[in-house]
Amino acid sequence: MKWGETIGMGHLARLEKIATLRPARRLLLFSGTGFMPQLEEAARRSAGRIQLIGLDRLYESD
Amino acid sequence: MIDKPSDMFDRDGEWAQLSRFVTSTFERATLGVVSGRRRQGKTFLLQAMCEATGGFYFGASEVVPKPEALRQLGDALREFTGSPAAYRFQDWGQAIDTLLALATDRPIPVVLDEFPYLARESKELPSVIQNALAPRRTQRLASRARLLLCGSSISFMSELLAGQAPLRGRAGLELIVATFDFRVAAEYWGLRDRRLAALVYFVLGGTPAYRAEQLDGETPQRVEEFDDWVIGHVLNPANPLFREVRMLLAERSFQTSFTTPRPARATRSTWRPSAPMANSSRWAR
Repeated sequence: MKWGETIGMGHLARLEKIATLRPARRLLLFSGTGFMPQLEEAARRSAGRIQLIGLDRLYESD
Repeated sequence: MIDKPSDMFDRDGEWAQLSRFVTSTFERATLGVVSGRRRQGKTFLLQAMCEATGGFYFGASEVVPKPEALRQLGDALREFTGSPAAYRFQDWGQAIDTLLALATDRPIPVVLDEFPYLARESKELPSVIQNALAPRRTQRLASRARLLLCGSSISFMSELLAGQAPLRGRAGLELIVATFDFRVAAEYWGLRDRRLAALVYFVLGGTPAYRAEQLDGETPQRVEEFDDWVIGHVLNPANPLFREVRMLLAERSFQTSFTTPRPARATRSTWRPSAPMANSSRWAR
């Protein structure tokens, strides 16, 4: 969760490392500014495992 | 379902619950409890309901000795009924029965707001209400009053109905008026810019009164205005928001002192109050 940082693959790698210690069905990444295209691509290919939550999704989706 | 007043934002759920409770056709007096932190709009909600239905509203203004509280209630009742004679209550039993008698032909809400203030000086009040609402009591069966006890101390209000408390199992409504969540808050503040809405929520949370009372409706409209707005309003020592955190914490400890069990009379002389601020006036007497 970062407010002022665009979230990228580095953030994902860190979360994946944590997930090896404590297995998780889903990885949620939040950002107030947005996500790097590469990460967005990774999320698309993850079959829902990687969830990117920006402000629009936070405020608008169900 | 009673129509919600047009000047009330959101609170559809709360209004529907209250409305159902107040208009229930149950042929006897019933009891409800409404709680929620200060400045969430409880009083606004209850007064609007009383206005819409011709109900009776009494808000205790502060902790006053019992005879004074009964006198204030008597004054409010006289104003409500337009009775030429004054109501003089010797005790809460008489007062509660008079409240029940306000609703004989149709259900109306009868609100005691800031109930913890009243109960603080009249420890017997919950038991008095329990007795007044005893299942087969004539005065209960003859009444359609929807008695609503309200207060800002959520712990105090829920303890009213918990465990061995006299009113346990008596309430047909237990409504908590919560703060707005971040989405409702954004709508309430009229902020379309998500980033700005989130920033304002981080600072103020979802307490509706801040916009109307403390800020006079002054909110940033563009994210570029946010910093100046924080400096000019939230961090401005002349704005009540500046001291709000301290006030909230003080309120919290004051409310906690309501619910802490007090030692029995016999042990008072040896007991040292640990929270001198909140209790000093009690112990001085």
